[in-house]
Amino acid sequence: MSETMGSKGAISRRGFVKAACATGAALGLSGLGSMASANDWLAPASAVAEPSEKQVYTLHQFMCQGNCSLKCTVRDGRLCMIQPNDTVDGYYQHVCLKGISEIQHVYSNDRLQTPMKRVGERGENKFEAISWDEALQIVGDELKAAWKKYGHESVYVSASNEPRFGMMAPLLKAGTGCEPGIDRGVGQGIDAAKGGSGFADGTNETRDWVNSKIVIIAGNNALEASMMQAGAFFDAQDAGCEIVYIDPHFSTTAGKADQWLPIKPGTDGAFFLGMLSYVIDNKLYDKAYMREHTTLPLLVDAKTGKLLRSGKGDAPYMVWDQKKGAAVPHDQAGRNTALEGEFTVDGKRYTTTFELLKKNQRPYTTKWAAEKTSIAQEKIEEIARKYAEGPGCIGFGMGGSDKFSNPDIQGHAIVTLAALTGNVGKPGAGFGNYNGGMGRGAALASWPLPEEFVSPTLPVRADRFPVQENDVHVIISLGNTFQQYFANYNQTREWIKSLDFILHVGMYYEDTVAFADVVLPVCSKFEDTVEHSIVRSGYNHVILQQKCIDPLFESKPDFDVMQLILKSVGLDGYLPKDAEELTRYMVDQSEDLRAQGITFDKLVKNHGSMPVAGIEVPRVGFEDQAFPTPTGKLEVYYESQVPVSQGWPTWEENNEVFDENPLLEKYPLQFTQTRTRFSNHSHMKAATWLQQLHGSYLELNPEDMQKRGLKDGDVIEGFNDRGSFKCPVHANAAVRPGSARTFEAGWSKHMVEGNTQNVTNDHINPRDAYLMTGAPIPFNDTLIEVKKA
Amino acid sequence: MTSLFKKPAFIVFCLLAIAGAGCWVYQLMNGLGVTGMNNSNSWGLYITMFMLFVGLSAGGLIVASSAHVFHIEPFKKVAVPAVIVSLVCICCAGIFVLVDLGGIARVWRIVTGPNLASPLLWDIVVITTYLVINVLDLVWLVKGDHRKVEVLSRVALPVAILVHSVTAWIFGLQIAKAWYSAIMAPIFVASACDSGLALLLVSLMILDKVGLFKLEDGLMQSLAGLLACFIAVDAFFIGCECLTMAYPGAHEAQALGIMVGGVTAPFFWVEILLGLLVPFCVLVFAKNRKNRKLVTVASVLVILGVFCKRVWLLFTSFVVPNVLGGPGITTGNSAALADPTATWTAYGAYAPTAPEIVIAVGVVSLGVAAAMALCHKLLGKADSQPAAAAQAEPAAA
Amino acid sequence: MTKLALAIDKRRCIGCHTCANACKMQNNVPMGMPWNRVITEGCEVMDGAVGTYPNLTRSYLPLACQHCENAACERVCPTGATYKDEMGRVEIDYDKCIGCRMCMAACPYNARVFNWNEPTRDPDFNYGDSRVPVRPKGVAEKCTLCKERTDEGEAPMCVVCCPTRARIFGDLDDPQSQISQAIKAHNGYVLLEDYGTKPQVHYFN
Repeated sequence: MSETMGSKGAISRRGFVKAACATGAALGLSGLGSMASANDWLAPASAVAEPSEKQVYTLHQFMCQGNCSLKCTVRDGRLCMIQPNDTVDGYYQHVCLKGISEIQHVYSNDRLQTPMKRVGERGENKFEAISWDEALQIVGDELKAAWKKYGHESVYVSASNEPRFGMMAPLLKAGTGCEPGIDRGVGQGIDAAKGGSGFADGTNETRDWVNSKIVIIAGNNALEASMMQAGAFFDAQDAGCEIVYIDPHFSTTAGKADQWLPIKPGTDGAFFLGMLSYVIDNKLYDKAYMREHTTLPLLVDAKTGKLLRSGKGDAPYMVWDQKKGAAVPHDQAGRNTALEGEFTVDGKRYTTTFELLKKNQRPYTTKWAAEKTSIAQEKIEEIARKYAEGPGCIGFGMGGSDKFSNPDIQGHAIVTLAALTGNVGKPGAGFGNYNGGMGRGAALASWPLPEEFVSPTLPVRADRFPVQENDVHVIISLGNTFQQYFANYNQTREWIKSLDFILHVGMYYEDTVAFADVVLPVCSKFEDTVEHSIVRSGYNHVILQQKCIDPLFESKPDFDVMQLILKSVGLDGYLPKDAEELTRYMVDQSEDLRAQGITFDKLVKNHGSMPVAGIEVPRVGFEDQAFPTPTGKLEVYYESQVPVSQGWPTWEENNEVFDENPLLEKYPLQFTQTRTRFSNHSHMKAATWLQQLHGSYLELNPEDMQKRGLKDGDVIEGFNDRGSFKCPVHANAAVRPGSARTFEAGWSKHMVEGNTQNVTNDHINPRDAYLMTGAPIPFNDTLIEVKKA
Repeated sequence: MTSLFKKPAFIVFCLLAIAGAGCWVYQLMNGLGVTGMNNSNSWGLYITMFMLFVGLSAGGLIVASSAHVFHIEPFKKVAVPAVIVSLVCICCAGIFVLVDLGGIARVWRIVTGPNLASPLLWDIVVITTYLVINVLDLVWLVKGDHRKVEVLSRVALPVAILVHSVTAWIFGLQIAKAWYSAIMAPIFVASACDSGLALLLVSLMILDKVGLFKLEDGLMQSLAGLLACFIAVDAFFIGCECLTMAYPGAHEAQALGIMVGGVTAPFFWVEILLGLLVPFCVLVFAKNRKNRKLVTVASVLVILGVFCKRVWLLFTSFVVPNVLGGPGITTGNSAALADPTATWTAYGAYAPTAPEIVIAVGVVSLGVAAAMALCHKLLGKADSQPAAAAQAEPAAA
Repeated sequence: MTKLALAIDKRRCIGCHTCANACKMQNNVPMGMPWNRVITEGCEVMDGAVGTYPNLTRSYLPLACQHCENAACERVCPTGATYKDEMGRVEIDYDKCIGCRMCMAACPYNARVFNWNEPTRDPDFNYGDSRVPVRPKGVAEKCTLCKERTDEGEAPMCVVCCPTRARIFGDLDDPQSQISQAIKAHNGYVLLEDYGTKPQVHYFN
């Protein structure tokens, strides 16, 4: 009876092709249920072959930034085991529950199996299976028609987390990238000072936390959202670092931190403002650092907030030289810079930006911060003292306080704290977002496209297409974009109806599929038509993908799909002949890698993973204190934001979630969608190995359950004026009273009814135009009420 | 025998037994997942019935053997029906163990590689021995081989007590559960005596009614009196156990809480009130013991009470896992597989399914049918010369 | 003598369930029958907390067969299907298991699962290590301490995959082993020590 595994033969393709033909007979398909199931397709073939087994070294998908290099076991053409790559340094041998769950996820019944076209009304979820040729014919015709009718800018490539189609948008001359409304909420408040794209990547590496005395983490359930850095978290604690964690909920990270500060949702900015006041009032700042490396000594007109320049245009800013008793350019050698005081230059009164900061901070006492945040005043002071002593780090993340209407203020306060205390560019001192560890990387070469092919910058950001006049009529959705990149789903649905054509390209039968006119199935990164089609530089390594199995069903690798879409409009000639050529190019033409002696062939030989140079010591960024800003300094004073009173971080209440909001009477619960270890956004929602551990449910504090007469497991309706959703509710003491918590990006089909995005806030902060990447989508700045359904 | 097939009751029991067999085949094909048992509550109705029937069996034989060992003449008259009841019940008990096995095809492994430390092995040995004793006893009783019956009874009595003690030790020796108690064997023997005697009384009433056996009032009254004593002993042991559980206020008190106020409380209180208190109050009065209806009702209540005891005794220990934590234990049964998240349970829970109940009813029906057949055959014969048989025995002594 | 065992650093355990799914993969474990699970101690829900907000505590407890030195399951098994092997592991000979579930009643840790049905696998084929025997319906199963791996000197899959390196595998009989040292240094403890089962899986904080 103890039959050993693998005695079943190779997969029969015939069974599936037959099924596909049957569905091809113009049936009105409602969902995937009527299509050939993965299990049918996996029926053993009649011929029983000897089991054959091979090991393949590849990588896992990268949205989580875990950068796991994997050793996969393929038996009889099936993916049977996934382990950490055992040929890399032990510290980097890792995988998580999601990576392992790919064993099932790859074969999921939720996979899109064939190209499909819509047969019912848009959104009705009725499709019929069609051939690739037919699908691409429709895609080509629709793209050409849109170009003719409205021009190239009418097509928008909505890029989601998984499929990589980097060259498609530029070649189509289509706008792309929904993300500015997401993940940059806090970061843009920091990067405005230090330079960067708005993500505010951590200035040092998580491995460097062992050198910190204190690490303060806010708005990010780091031990779930960046699980592969959990080792660094504990190593830091072992080395004596105190980890202080700010979260309204007693999350996994809260349970492991040295101190958990239970904060009122969306008031993280007030906490840091309080810290700032304490540092200033007690003169805990580092004057030398402020003078040399920040814009705190710059002379400013207190009335207008305008900085004094030595001349017109881009002439250097001025500081007061105490020795000379005169204003001098901020970068003049041998200057003796004044930080404080009032000075007269050319008959006009000037002060320093630091003086303005002190004035601006006056209302934000630690007592005020304690009231705003519900964290004890002494606690805020204690943390401020420890951080100022340093070396200290302030980390933030995504999925929490960044998804409110004004998280840039939090970012601004964080970078100002760093500038005041000099916690920058030294071992153990840093700030920013630490997701993915923020180690070293290498610049990979990019495939050259003719200059004419660039993605235009559209006047309207994509997440506002539903509410602002725009000229986009065709959406190419790569992944579950309609559900994930827009708040207020009901409004999004109205806009979707108005579009001319929607092409969905993805792996799973997720929400967005329902709205598509044509659906193209992509395969996972384990399936391929070439040996290697992805190379990544991440967390101190260059890692290479390798094919494990053939594409399942009728799906194709994303490069191949991109090639076919471009071919349908005659633009495929600019692409490499296949993904392998592209990957080889990206490695072998990279100057960075060439200098390190890393080649494509060596990567293959080294089991798909090679360390980049210099990783023996943890990365500490800005050791030279040279920032990619116009002054080369940490430009913490935001002159450009003076018109909206944000020259210095100035408190502003959230849009919905604030104590005095009268809406609280109607909708008393703050609704938050948090990141979880069980998925990367929408990705992995189809994995039954993960589903068995959690479901789509709402969590309430037992107190809030009791108030509403709810029992554990009851189906509830969460609602506000924008919409509602129904799902089971569970009591969890870890949830802050007055808050309702769920995991983000849950698919509608896993809910009892509706979707959590039906209620989310799509408010646009009026300071939008002044922000580096615009106002963030305030998903968590949402109030709801919950009742028994 | 042929006349038996004209009796509707017999036919109904046969049909039920066939239905049970059908469900058992269904269970063999699909696995024990067709029952309500699961990883957190891994024993169910079958083991409850096993415990019940071992007890019912032991009770009958204890009365029959005592008659011969201690020369209680009036009781000797009931020896044949008592042994029939005992034999049938022990067969039922054995069948309940077999239907509970997940791998019955491998059951021969017990013979080829027995683990002598396993109480289940002891039980199998003792039950087999007991079964053989029952068969021999019955054969010799019917043959009127009085000497052999006398000798056998001296073995049968301790084995009858042992058979239920060993069954108790299957549970009572498990440190992991609230069953872990030295009084478990005495409790099992006490409830075997009262439920077994109650079943014997009920059987004798029926046999009397159908004319296969003449139950004299005096005998009935003394058996009923004995039953009252057994009930008292049973109640005393349960009282001892509950006090021991409750007094320290430690973790056993949690199990007690479930028994007296939790999910198994209805069974506990039915046993205490209807299974012990009411029958005792009825039978303690000599006047009531003369009333056949009251004695019958009291006996049925005792059997019901002991069934309830088996339920609370077994299931209380499955409710709270020793290592408690969310999401808990996976049930692992088929119902849960349809919805992956429904597979977790923080606490043990169990409800028998329809096939499971049909199998249990089938096994009991098979037993009743077998008992009817045996009584029909053996008592019918004895019935033709009741006086002679009754007189022959004392003469031989 | 060899006494293979695990020590789990509960402080480093973030309750991520990677060990549970690694075990499921390696051992071809069917749906709904985890050999290894991570519970949130004292809570009815996963990732719950003990106490009242904000005075809360939480600890995760990865729970599988404790490979007890004085194994209750081994003692009660009528056929000797469950046995303690020469490497100190508690193992099951599936060919001998008659499915009586005596072991499940005896195990104080609810470590065992039973094949109530024909096992349901998703995906519908035998994944995992090809050396692991496939179990039929009607037998009990549990963590084998990755017998097929540890026989060859490899660490169990849960140890290999744990992202925080919270799990230590080794020989308790070797006082110099990492596991023995860690248990000693951190005052390791075992679950339900009072029961006298002498688990070989140790926990420490």
